[in-house]
Amino acid sequence: MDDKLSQTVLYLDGVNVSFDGFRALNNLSLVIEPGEMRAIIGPNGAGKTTMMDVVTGKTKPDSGAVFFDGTVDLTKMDEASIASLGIGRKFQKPTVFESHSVRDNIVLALEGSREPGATLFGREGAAQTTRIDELLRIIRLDGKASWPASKLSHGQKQWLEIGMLLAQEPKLLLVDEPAAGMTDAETAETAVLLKEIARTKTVIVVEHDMAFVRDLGVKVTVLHEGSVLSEGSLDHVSADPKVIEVYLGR
Amino acid sequence: MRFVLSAFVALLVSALTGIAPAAAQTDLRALINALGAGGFPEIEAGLRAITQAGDSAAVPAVTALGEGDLYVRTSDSQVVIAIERARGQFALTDAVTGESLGEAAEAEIERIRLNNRVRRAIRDTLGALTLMSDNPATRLAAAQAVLRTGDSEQIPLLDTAIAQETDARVLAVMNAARAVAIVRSDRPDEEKIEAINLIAERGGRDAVSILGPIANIEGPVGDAASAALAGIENTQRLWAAGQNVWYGLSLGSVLLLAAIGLAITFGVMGVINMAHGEMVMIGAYTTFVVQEIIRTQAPWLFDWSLAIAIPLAFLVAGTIGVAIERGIIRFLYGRPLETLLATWGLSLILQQAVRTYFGPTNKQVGNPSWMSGSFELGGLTIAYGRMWIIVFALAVFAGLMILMRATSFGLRMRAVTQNRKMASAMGIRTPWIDAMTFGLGSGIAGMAGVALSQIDNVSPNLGQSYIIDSFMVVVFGGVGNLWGTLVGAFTLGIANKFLEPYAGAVLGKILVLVLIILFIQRRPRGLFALKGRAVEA
Amino acid sequence: MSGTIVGRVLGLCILVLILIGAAALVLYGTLPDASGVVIDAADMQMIGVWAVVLVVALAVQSSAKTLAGQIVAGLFIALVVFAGAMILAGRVIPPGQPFHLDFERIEAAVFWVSAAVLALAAIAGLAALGGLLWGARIGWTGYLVVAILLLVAVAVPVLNLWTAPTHPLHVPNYAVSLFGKYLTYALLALSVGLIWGYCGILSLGHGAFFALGGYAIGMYLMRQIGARGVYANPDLPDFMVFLNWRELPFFWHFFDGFPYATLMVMAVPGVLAFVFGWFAFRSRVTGVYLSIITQALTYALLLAFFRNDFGFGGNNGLTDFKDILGFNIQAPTTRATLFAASAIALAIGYLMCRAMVSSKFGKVLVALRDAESRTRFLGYRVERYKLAVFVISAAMAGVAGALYVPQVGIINPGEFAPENSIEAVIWVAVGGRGTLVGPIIGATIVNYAKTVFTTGALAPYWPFVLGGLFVVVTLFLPKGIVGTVQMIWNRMRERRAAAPPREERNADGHGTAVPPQANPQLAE
Repeated sequence: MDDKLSQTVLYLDGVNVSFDGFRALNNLSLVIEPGEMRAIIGPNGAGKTTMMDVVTGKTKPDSGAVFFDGTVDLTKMDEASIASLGIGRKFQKPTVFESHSVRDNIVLALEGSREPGATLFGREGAAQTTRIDELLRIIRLDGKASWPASKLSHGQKQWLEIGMLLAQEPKLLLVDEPAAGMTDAETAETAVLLKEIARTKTVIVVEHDMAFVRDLGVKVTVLHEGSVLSEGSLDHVSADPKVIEVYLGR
Repeated sequence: MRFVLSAFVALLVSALTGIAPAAAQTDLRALINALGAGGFPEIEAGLRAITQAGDSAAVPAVTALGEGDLYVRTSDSQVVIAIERARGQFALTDAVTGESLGEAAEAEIERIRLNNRVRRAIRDTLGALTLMSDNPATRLAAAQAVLRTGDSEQIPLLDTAIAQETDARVLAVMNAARAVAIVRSDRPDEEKIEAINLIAERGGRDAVSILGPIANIEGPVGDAASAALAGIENTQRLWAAGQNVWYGLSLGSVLLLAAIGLAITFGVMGVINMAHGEMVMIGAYTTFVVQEIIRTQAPWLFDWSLAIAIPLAFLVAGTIGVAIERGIIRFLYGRPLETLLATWGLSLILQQAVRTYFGPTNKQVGNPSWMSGSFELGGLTIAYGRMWIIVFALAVFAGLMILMRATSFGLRMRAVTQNRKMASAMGIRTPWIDAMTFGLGSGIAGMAGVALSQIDNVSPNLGQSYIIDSFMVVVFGGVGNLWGTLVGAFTLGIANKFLEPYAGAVLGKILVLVLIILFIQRRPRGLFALKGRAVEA
Repeated sequence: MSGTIVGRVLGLCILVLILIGAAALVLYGTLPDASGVVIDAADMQMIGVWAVVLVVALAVQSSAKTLAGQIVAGLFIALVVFAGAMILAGRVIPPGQPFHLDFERIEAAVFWVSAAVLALAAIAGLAALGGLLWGARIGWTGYLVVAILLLVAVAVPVLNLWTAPTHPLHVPNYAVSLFGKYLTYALLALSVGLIWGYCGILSLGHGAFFALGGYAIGMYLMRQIGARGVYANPDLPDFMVFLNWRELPFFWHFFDGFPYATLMVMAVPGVLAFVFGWFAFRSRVTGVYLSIITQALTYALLLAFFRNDFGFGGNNGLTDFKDILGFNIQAPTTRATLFAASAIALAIGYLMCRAMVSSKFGKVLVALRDAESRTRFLGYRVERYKLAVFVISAAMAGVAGALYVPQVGIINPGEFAPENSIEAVIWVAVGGRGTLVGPIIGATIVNYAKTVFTTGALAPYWPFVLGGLFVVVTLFLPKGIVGTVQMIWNRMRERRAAAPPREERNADGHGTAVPPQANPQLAE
C-alpha cells in the first residue's frame, strides 16, 4: 500500500465532500502516476471542479485522504502553500489579471520567491527575461506582450492562463476545460500544446469536448455523482454501458 | 371604684349589644373620665378597660396621658387634654372629640399623675388599640412602628394581634415586627434564631440593617445572623445581576430596532448604508413634529402621539430611503465600498439639513402617560417606557419574520439575498426589490427613531450615536438571517451592560469592540452566516 | 520559529537571554536582603504592556522568513529585552542593590539607544529606498513630482523669510503653517490611497494612526514645556497637576528625548496596525466588514482618549507647546523649517510608494486587489502583503500626524473621530484613487476649499459641499481628477495611434520596456 502510494503524484482515497446536504464528492478514489496525462470527463455536477478544489486547497474534504507525491497531505495546507508545492491550476473561466499586461501576468506567475521582500527588492534577471519570452512564444502571445489582458479574446485568455500555469514550473497541472469557447482550430492547437507539456509534467485535464479528448489520446476517467464510474481508454469507456446511460448517450 | 365598675358593666353591655357610635362615644367618655378618678391602680384598671373596649378613638387621650397632658377639670371632673400655652394658661381640648374647650388657668385643672406601672399600661393600651384597630391601615402603621422600634415589650400584644389578624399584608408586617422585637429581646436563642430566619426571608435593606449589628455578636445567634446576612447579600447580588440583564435587554431592543433595517439592506443588496443613522434621526424628528402639532392643535390626542408617529415615521423615512436607492445607490450597483462613501456623504447632507431647519439643539419630545413610571417585579425596577420599547421591538421583529416567510415579497427578497443573478434570471425584478428593500430598511429605522425619541435626546447627531453599534450588531450577528440580528443585538446589549459596572461605560464599550474583532477571527461572516458558493462570490 | 539557521540561532540566543533574566529575578527574590522588592500597580501595568510587546515581537519573528526579516525581527526582540532589563533595573530591583539603575541613568540609556536605533533605521530606510529604486523603474513623472515637492520645500520658506511683506510673491506667516498643514494631510491621503488604490482595503480609521503619531510628538512637546506651564511644575504637564497626579504615568517616560519620541511616532501606529492587521487579514475579513471594523477601531480610541484619566489630557488634549528641539515653536523660522520638513517627508513618502508600486511587489498588490483568490492560487501569501502595506501606510500616517501637530499647535482626541478618517478617504477619491499623485492633489484641493468655506460666510454650507462631494465623486468621477485625466489622455493616444490598443499606462505609469506591436494575428 505504501509502495503504491509513493509511486503516485496524486493519490485520492475515499474523499467525501458535502455542501449543505448535497454530496459533491462521494467516496472518490483516484490515482495519477508521475508523467501521465489523464482526462477526466463526466456530466455536470459530477464533481470534477470540486475535486480540483479539494486538490488545490480551496475546499477541505469532510473525510478521505489526499496525498501529493506520495507523502504530502494536501488536506492540511492552504491554497498558497499547495501552489508553492508545485501544483498549478487553470480555471474553468479564464482568470487572468485583467488590469495587468500579458507580460505582467507571466511575470507574476513566474517561478520564484513569493515573499514580499523578494518582490520588493528583486530585479528581473536575464535568465528570467529569457524564460518569459520563451513562454510568450509558446502561447503565441509574444506579439501582444504589452497588451492589457482584458483586451484578449477568450481563446487568447485561455492560452495566457496556460502560459501562467507553465510559468509556475509546476509538477502537477490541473487544467479545467481548456477548450471551452474555442474554435476548432484553436482546440486542435490546444491539444498539441498540452501534449507537448505532458512530455515533462503530469497533467490532469477536465473536458466536455469529446473530440478534444480523443485528440489527447490518453487514459480517461469518468466521474458521476461524485465518484469514479469508469476508467480506461476513451474507446473503452465509450463502450461501457454505464457511461453511455449516464453521459455519452448512444 | 363603684364608678369604674359601673363603667365596666356599661361597656360590657354596649359591647354585647353593639351600640351605636354615639352611645359608644358616651361610654368612651365615661371610660376616659374614669381615668381621672382614683389612684394608680384605678388608672391601670381604667386603661385595661379601655383596651378591652378596643375603641381607637381613645388613642389621643391615652397618648396625652402618657405625655402628661391629661388633666381633670376640677369643676366637673371631666378629663381633658390641656396644653400649656402661656405661663399658667392652658388650652383645653376634649379628650374624646378633640374639640376645643376654651382656656383654663392652672388652678382649674389637675394633672393625672403616672407611675411606671401606669406607663407600661399606657404603652400596652396604645399598642393594643392601634394593633387591633378596625382600620387595617392603622394596624399596618402600628405594626410598622413596632418594626422600626423593635420594642420587645410589645411582643405579647403582637402575639394577640397576630392571632386575630386576617389581612395578609398586615400579618406579614406584624410577624416581621414580632421577629425584630424578639431579636432585640432577652428571649432564648432558639427563638431568636427562628426570628432571624423570618427576617432573612423578608430580605431587603431593612433586614440588612437589623441583622448587621447582631452578626458581630459571639455565639449561635451571631452566627445565625451572619449566615442570614450572607444569604440576603447573595440574593441582592442576584437581583442586581437581574437588573443588569434587564438593562441589557432594554439596550438590546433599541439596538435591534436600529440595526435590523441595516441588516436587511446589507443582506439583500450587500451595501452598508451609512445614512442609516439619519433615518433613525428623521423618525425621531417626525415624532417631534407630530407632538408639536398635537400640542398646538389637539392636546387631547397626546397619548396617541406615538401611535400616529410610528406609521408616519415609517412612511417618511421609507420614502426617503426609496428615493436614495433610486437616485444614488442604483448607479453604484456592484461597488459596495463606493456606496458606503456615497451614503456617508448623504448622511452629512441630511444632518446639516436637519440642523439648518430645526436648529442644532436638542428638541423636547415628551412621553405619553402610559410610557412613564415604573413598577416592581421581585427585586427589579421595570420602567414602563423601556418595557414598551422591548415589546415594540419584538413586534417589529415578528412582523418582519412574517413578511419574510409568509409573503411573496419576502420570498423574493430572500431569493435575491441568496443568489441575485439566479433570482433575476427567474424573472424577479431585482431593481424593484432593491428599492423596496431599501425603503423597508429605512422605514424600520424611522420607527426605531420614534422609540429612541422616548429615551434619548433628539438632535441632529442622534443617528451618529447609534450607527457604530448598529454596525457591530450586523457584523456580529451576520446577515441574511433575521435571527442573527436578534441574537446579536441582545447579546451585545447585555454584554455592554454587564461590563459596565466592572469596567465603566467607556471601557466596557471598548472591550465589546475588541471582543467583536476577536470573534470575527473565528467567524468572519458573523454568527448566523450564509454558506455556500453563491455567497463567496 | 522558522527558516534559516541564522534565524534559529538568533531566536535561541534571545530565548536564553530571557531565561537568564528570569532566573536572575528569581535568584534575587531569594536573597536575604532582597526584601526591598516592591511591585506596585503601576509596575504591573508596565510589565503587562512589556509582555504584550514581547508577544508581538515574537509574532513578528515567527512570520519573518527571509534573512533580512529575521534580522529586523531579532533587533526588535533585542530592544524588547533591553526594555525588560530597564524595567528590572529601574523598578523591580530596589535602590542600593547591585544592578539597580537610577532613573537618570535609565533615561540616558534609553536616549542613546533610541538615538542609535533611529540612526540605524534611517540608514536602513535610505538603503531600502535605494534598493527599491534600483529594482523598480519609476517613470519621469515620478521624479517630476518629487522635484516639484522639493522645489516647494525650498521656495515657500524663502518667499516667507527673505522677501518683504509687500513683495507680490511674499508668503505670509499664517500661510506657511496652513500650507504645511495641507502637506501633512496630503501625506495622510497618500497613506490611505496606497492601501485603498493598491490593496483594495478601504480603511475608515486611518485617522487613528495620524492621531497616534500626533499624540506621540505632542507628548514630546509637552515634556519640553518643562517649568514654563501655568502650574510651573518642571516634571508634570499642567493637566496632570490639575488632576492632582503625583508623578508621570509610566508611558510618559522618556518622551523628553527626541529620538525616542520620533521612534514612537512610527512604532505605535505601526505596532497597532500590525496587531490589527494580523488578526483581520489572517481571518480573511474583507470589503465592507473590514471597513466597518476599522471605523470601530478609531471610534474605540476616540472614547478612550476622551477620558480625563487616560493620561493624555482628556477632552482638552495636549497644547500650549513652547519649543521643539530647542527652537521656539511659534517663530517664523521654525514654522518654515516644519513646512520644509513636511514637504520633504511627502516627497520621500511619495518616492517610496512610487517605487513600491512600480516593482513586482506593486504588481502583486494590484493582482490581489482585483483577484485575491487567483493570487493565492499563484502561491502568494496575500495576508503578508496586505499586512506589510498596512503597517507601512500606518507609519506614514503617524509621521504625517507628527508633522501636523507642531504646525497646528494642538492635538486633541477629536482627531480620532471617524469623520476625520472618512474625510481623508474623500480626498483620495477626489484626487484619483488608483494613482499616487491623486491623493496629494485631492487633499490639497478639498482642504483648500474647506478653508475657504469655513472661514467665510459660507460656513454653514460646508457640510453640504462635503457631503455633495462624496456623492458626486462616487457617481460621476469614480477615477477622481487625476484618474479621469489619465483616462482621457490614454483614449486620445489610442485614437491617434489608430490601430491596436497601446500599453495602458496603468496606475503610475509602470510600464514594460517592450514597445507596442502591430496587428494581432488572432482576430478579436
